[in-house]
Parts: sequence; C-alpha cells; structure tokens
Amino acid sequence: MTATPVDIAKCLKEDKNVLLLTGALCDTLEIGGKRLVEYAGEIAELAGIPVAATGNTIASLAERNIKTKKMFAGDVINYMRAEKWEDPIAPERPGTLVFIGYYPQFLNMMLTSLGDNKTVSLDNVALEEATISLPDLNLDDWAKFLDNVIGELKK
Amino acid sequence: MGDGSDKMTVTVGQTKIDIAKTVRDIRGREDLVKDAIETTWNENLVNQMKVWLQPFPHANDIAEWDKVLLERYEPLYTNVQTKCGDCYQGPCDLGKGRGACGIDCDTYQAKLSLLTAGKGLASFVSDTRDLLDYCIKKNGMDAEVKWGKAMTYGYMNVHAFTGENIHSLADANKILSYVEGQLTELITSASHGHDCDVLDLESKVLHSGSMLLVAMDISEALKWTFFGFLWSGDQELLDVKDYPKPYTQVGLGSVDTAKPVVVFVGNDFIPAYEAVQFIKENKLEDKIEVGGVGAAGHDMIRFYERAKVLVTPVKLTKLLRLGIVDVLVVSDSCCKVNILEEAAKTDTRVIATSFKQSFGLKERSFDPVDDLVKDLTEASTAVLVFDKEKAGELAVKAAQKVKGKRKESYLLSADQVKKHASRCDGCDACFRACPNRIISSKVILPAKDGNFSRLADLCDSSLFCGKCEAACPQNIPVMDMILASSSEKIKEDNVRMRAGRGFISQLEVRDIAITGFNLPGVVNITGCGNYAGSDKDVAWLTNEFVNSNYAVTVTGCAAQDAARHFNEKTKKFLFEQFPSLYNPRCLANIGGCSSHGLAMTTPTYKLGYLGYRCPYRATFEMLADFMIKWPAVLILWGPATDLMYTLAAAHVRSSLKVIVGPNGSNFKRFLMGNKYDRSKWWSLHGLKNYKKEIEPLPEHLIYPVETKEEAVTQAYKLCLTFQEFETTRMTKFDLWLGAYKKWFGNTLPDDWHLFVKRDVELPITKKAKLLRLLEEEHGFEIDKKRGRITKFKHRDGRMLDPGEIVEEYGMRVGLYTTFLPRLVYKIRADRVEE
Repeated sequence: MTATPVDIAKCLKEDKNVLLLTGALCDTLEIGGKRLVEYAGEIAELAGIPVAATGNTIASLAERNIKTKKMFAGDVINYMRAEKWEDPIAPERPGTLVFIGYYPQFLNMMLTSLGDNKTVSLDNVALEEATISLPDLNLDDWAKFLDNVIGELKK
Repeated sequence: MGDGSDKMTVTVGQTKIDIAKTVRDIRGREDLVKDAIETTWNENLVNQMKVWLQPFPHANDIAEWDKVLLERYEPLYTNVQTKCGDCYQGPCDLGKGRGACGIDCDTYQAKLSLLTAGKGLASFVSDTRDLLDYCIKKNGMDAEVKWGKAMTYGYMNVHAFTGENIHSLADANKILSYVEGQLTELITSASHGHDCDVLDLESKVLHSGSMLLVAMDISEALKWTFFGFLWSGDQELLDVKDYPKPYTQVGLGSVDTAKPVVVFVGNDFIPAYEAVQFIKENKLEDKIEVGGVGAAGHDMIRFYERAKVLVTPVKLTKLLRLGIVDVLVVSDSCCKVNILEEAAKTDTRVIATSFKQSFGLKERSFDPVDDLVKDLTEASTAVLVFDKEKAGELAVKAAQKVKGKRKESYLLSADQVKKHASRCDGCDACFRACPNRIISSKVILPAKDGNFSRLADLCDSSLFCGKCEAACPQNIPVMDMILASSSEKIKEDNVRMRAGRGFISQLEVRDIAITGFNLPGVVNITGCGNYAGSDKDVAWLTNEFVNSNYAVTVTGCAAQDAARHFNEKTKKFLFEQFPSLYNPRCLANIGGCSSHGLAMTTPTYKLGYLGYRCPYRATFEMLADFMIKWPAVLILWGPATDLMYTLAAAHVRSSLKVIVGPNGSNFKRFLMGNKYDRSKWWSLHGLKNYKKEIEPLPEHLIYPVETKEEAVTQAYKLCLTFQEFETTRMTKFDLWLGAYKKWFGNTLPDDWHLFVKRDVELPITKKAKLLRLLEEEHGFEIDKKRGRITKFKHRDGRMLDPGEIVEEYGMRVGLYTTFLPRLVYKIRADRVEE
C-alpha cells in the first residue's frame, strides 16, 4: 500500500521496535541537493530509531546522534527468522523494518524473504512486496516527500 | 575358493576387504570399486574407517553430507511464491495454509529451487551432449580423450562422483549418460507427487550442482582433445606461469571496423571453430575480424589467437546498437530473445545455429552456401542453419559481402541526441525501472543543451538492458543516446587478457599445500557480466584479492572484466602483472563456462589426496568433509542465472563458500548460518566421536552482499576456518579487521572476539588495541605488561586458561575432525579373515 508523508512519519514514531536499514545507494544517490544518506540520518535522529548501516553507509552515519552500526543486509534478514533476536542493534526483534537506498533487485530479495513482517520502503517506487511504500515519484518529488516526512517528525 | 569370491575381495597392504560391503549395490561395479580401493586407499585408513564408496551416486547417496550442511545453513528463500498451480487440484494459496496435496509454502519454494537448478543443469548438459555427439560423429566412439602430460589424476570431478575417468569418447558417453539420468530424476523429484521434504529437495539441488561439474569436466576434456583448446595440462610445468601470454584483446575498442566483423555469441563454439578453420584455409586472418560474446568468446580465444572478446552477454544490445557487427552468429544461452529485432536496427545479419534457439526461422541447412550468402546480403537479415561447418563458412563469406553495404555509422548524431533529450518531461520512469538506478532526467536533460558528459559517464555502468527505454512514456532511445555520447570513450576500450588455460597442475596444488599454512585463501571470481556498479568492479575485486596474497582464478565472462584494471605505476594490465598460476599472489584465467569445474573443486580434491591422502575416487563425501576446512570462496559477481544458481550449489556441496553480488540477489535461496545458535557449531572429535564446539565458521555458505567492499570483507571472514595455525589466523584477522577499518568507518565487526583462541593470533599492529577491547568489552583477562591473554571468556561464560580454551573451543591443528560419524577413526574388526 502506498502512503503519505504523514502516514510514514506516524509509522516511524509509533511502531514498536523500528529498525531503519540504509542501503548502498544511500551513498551514491543525490536528490534535492543532498545525498540520500543525509535524509536517512535525519529521519533516524528525529524518530529515535536505530540504523543498520549496510553497504558502505556507516561512515556517513557514524557522526550522527543515532544508534548505528555497520551491518550486512543479509544478516538482518537472517536474524529475523531466528527464534530469538540476538543482534545488539536492537533490544528485541524489530517489528517494522524500514528500507532506503537499495538496488531494486536486492530490495526485492529482502522484502520477499521477510514474509509477514511489516516492511516500509522509502524509495520512490510503489512496491507491492512492501507493506507500505511511497508512490511512484520523480526525483524532485521524492526529495520533497522525504522533506515532508522529516517535517512531520519534527512536529 | 574357485567360486568367484576372489572377485569380491580386494587387498590393501595385508588387509582384505569384501567389496560388496563397500557400496550400496556392487553389481556391475566390481572392477571399478576394486581398482578405486587399491589405488587410493591405504592400509591405515581401511583398518580405522569403514570403506565406503559412492560410484555413480543418486542424490540420496550423498544426502547424509548434504543434511549436515543444510541443518547448519538453513535455506532462506527469497522471491517467495505462494500460489501453487502444479497439480490438477490447484491453484492453492500457500500463504494461507497447506495446499490440497498437503504441500506447505517452504516445500513449494524448495521445489522451485530444484526446478531452477534443474534448468541450469539441463542447459549445460544439453550443450555438452551436442558437443559430445559432434565429436563422436567426427572421430568415432573409441577415439582417445587426452589428459595432458602434466595430468596424473585426470578429471577430478568425474573421479569424485563416478570413480571412473575419461580416456575415450565411449567413457565420456557413459558418464554423460549417467548425468543425464540424474537430471531426469532431479527434475522429476521437483514435480507434483514426488519429494516433499525441504531438505531432500535441497539435497537434490546440491546434487544438480555436482552433476554440472561432472558435465563441465567432460566438456573441457573434449575441447582440448578435439579442438586444440589452450591447456596448461600439456605444458612444461615451468612454462605455466606465463601461459598463455596476455595477448588476447578485450573490449569494443579492439575491433578493427575497417574489416568485415563476425561475432559469435552463445554456448556453442563449434560454428566459430569452423569459421576459423575456413579463415585459415583461405588465408583470411588479416582480412576478417572475429569476435566473441559470452561463452563463445571465451572458448574462441583458446583456439584462435586473433579472436577478441567484446562484451559480456548481457551487453549484447550495446554491441548491436553500436553497429560494428556485420554478421552475428547465435547459438543458445547467454542470449537475449529479441536479438533479431535489435540486429535489424543496425542491419546486422544473423545466423542462428541451435536447435534450442531457432527464432521461428525456417531451417536452411540444406541450401548451398552461396545461396545463403546472397540471401543474407540482399534479402533476409537472418537465417537458420544447423550445419555448423556450413554456418562457419557462411558467416565469413556473408560478412565479406555485407561489409560496405551497411551504413558507415548507426549512432545518433549530436543533434539527434539533443532533440531526444528535449522531449524528456522529467517523470524519472527510467530511474525507477533501472536496475542500477543510474539513469534519470537529471542525466538526460543536460544533453538537450549539448552537455553529453553525464550520458557518457554511464557507458561502463549501464547494463544496456533496455528497461529505461521500455519504461519511458516518450519513447526516448536512452541506450542510443548513451552510446552516441560515449563513442570516443568506447574506442579506448581495449585491454589485455590471458585466454583461459584450463587445468590446474598438481605441482601448483603442492605449492598451495605448502603455502597453505599462511595462505589467506583462494578465490574464484565468476559471473555473467551484469553488475551493479561498473565493469571495473570485477577488476577492482581481482586486484584487491591478488594484492592480499590470495590465489586468484577467474572464469567465465568475469575474466574479461577482471582484465580492466590498469596499474598506473607498472603500466600493466592485471594479467600482465601477475603470474598465471594457482598460487598466492597470482592470477589465472581458467576459461569460459565449462572450466568452472577446474577452478576450485578440482585443485581442492587434489589437495585432499596429495596433502592428506584422502581417497578421491567415488568418495565425494570424504572430500567435501575435508574441504570444509579449506579457505576458498567463489564470488558470483553478476546475475542469478539458472546456471549460476546450479554452480553455487555445486560449490557449497563441496564446502566452498559462495558470495553473491547485488545483481545476483534474485537467487531463489541462500544458505546462511546463525552464529548466535551455539548448538549448530560443532565438529566431531575424529578419534573419540563426540561433538566439540567450534567457532561459528564458516558462518555462511551462500551469502548476498551489496557492494564490492562488502564482498571482499565477507570473503576474508568466510576464509577463516575452525582449524588453522595461529600464523594463518593472524594473517586472516589482519585482512578482515583491516578491511572493516578501511571501508566501514574505522569500526570493528562485533563478533571478532568469537574467533580469538590464542593471543599470538592477534595481528601485531593491532594487538594492543585488541587486547584492550577483549578486556573492556568481552570480559577477557589480560596481562597488560606482557601483552598476553591470561583468561579467555568462553561463549558459555566460563573463564578458561590458554591451554583449556584450545581444547574446549575449536579444533587444534593436528586433531583429526569430521562431520560424519562413519568417518570417525576406530579399529575395524569386520575384515575378511585370511
């Protein structure tokens, strides 16, 4: 289902045990004059959610006031199926996984392996495989959408 | 006794063995089993272990080993499909519960996994059968299959699974028939009413992989024997390090477009072989440019020095749109299905040659060559000719006639690029469709004012898959615009590579065995040339591993991209810089698709025998059990084709680890361990037969990564083994922890302490810091003055002395260990009395 910035912000603030995953494209994609990883960092800070920094994104996130560590995306989806969640990035099994900046095939792989877990995609493509995603947007509208999410989180 | 019972016993040293008790069904295998035991088992072994062989196995014969792996590395399914319509009672929605036949969702995914592996196996087996039949028709069933003067042990994948070897075409036919029978059984198991247990099905996926390697050995044997492929197995051993010389030209800029250009694509090299014979007979070497794409390319360069490798198969559209090909000869696999449509855009003539990819064309194998040439020149743009000799001659003659009749250039002009760019409305549908997320309106729009640089920048990283063009509501020809913008850059695309050399000698394996004490690992990089990132990423990966003292091999289409690294200091390409050996800090191109069996499993089986006297004939389980301690990783940097899926299965069954790049994340199933579940990490004490806890190593068997830095880092970790010398562990730690620091923001992995069993394993340059962290973060006790660990914290919380930890955790070097109870050493009482 596609969502509005208000829906997304509500989900980030109110869902239990949200974990944000930042993918490799966060470092390389620039929209609205800044890299995607900066949007991710701001969102994580405002929502108070930990970040599994996959790909090479940890370097950009380590300076922020957020709980983050370098993880491999494969490990996150692997740990989600274990009986007991043991990774220190989160105190218990994440209830909502939020993805931003992944190659489409890679994202599809993760989403389709997560079964009934709640997933949110912050990329600019409407995705059936995610529980919630953004609508199809061009790059400028995507930047505005994320800015609006940030605006909602600041309220 | 005179009753034939001597036929049923074999003597090893002073010990007699009843061979009927060494296999599941001895009938018809008596001589094979006797010979295999006599030649590869020693008396020590037969007196301490059950002699058990699995010649010509079914999947179930090796299921015990498969399940050791699958229970530790549980299948993780992706691209989950919940709607099953496989039988007359469906369709059923397995997301809501079991299907009408009783199948559940996981089992259905396992069936799909097996079907994928079956397709991968079938595609290669079919090509091998075509090749074998061709050889039999030309040379007769009794024709000898050569080994090469440096080959003592023959074709090791064939040995490991059948116990036999290939000395003639009759042998090859027998072994391939066995593989074909297994293929039928495997695909049947995936169908309705058959196997219904996830582990049974995944065991069969692994078996598909093993059968693929057997077929690959056959293919390589035929290529070198009957077509003169380059083969290091027949070279003087001291010459191998520079064999073959790096004369092969790679890249679109290597083509002399002033001459007629013939390009071959697909899995079947024989039309190319016949074309080259025609060229040589008619002294046309200086008059015709011959290039290859995919397997055809990598095979061609092994029998024709002047052949060039142009692009990887995924980028065939790039090649065709460039308009430099006069005649394209297409077999099967590696091919996009819209080849005729794409070829027609640039008046490229197509000759199809395969029963498995006929494009709806009428067969014209019986038409005279000159008629076909006339047609291709004046009327048709494509013909279908199954006669491979005719196809080869036709390709050369047609190219000569067609040259000059096609346009000078098929690229868009600058004005055309500007005009198309101005039609972009900024919707970014192209961005959303692009698998690499590299194209967008931000790249296209500057071109309307004549700034083509952003388009040109995409030349290396675009897959030329065409999804952008299909998605664009304005029908903007994005790929044509990229090509037009980068035409000058493309002319510079000319690098040097070594052609595939084939076989790895036992002398190289002996060297590896000796250096194995400090060897960080061996890595094989392969893939079909569809990358997130750039063409140069494979070169980057190759360069990293070689410079980390890995023994590096490349196979398949990855080899041509590995060549793309140019060292500015030495002014050499990668293949020019490093020796062509299977040794640390060396780089060997083994060959195209069919050489995968030679690159990793073959030398490791030899290592098992040469170094450790592990029998290698029809004893795959023993070999795989040994190999789990070998630091070897396969990097699949490309798409998740059916063949690559099956290849991954082949390697993991042999205990080799596989890392899959981001564009391979369509893999149906990964095999990942859980380091937190200690119950999974054990190995049997090889003498006392009890489970000992080991480090969670190797952590995974098939694992997806997003970036090349992640690939290298994960490979370093997967090469840690639970039984290695401290100096080896130190080297590997240094690499692994160094990679983290370099690429992941000066951090350390959060599990490194799980692999510390001796303080001498800590890299010297990092030791002080690591000791401090062990104390502060992980509860170890440290003697700071002497820089020693005085107490290790076991995973169960106990504090252990240095002597205790090596006994309680992991396997110390020198202790025999196994995963299979029947391989535990014990004195056997069940020998035939003299």
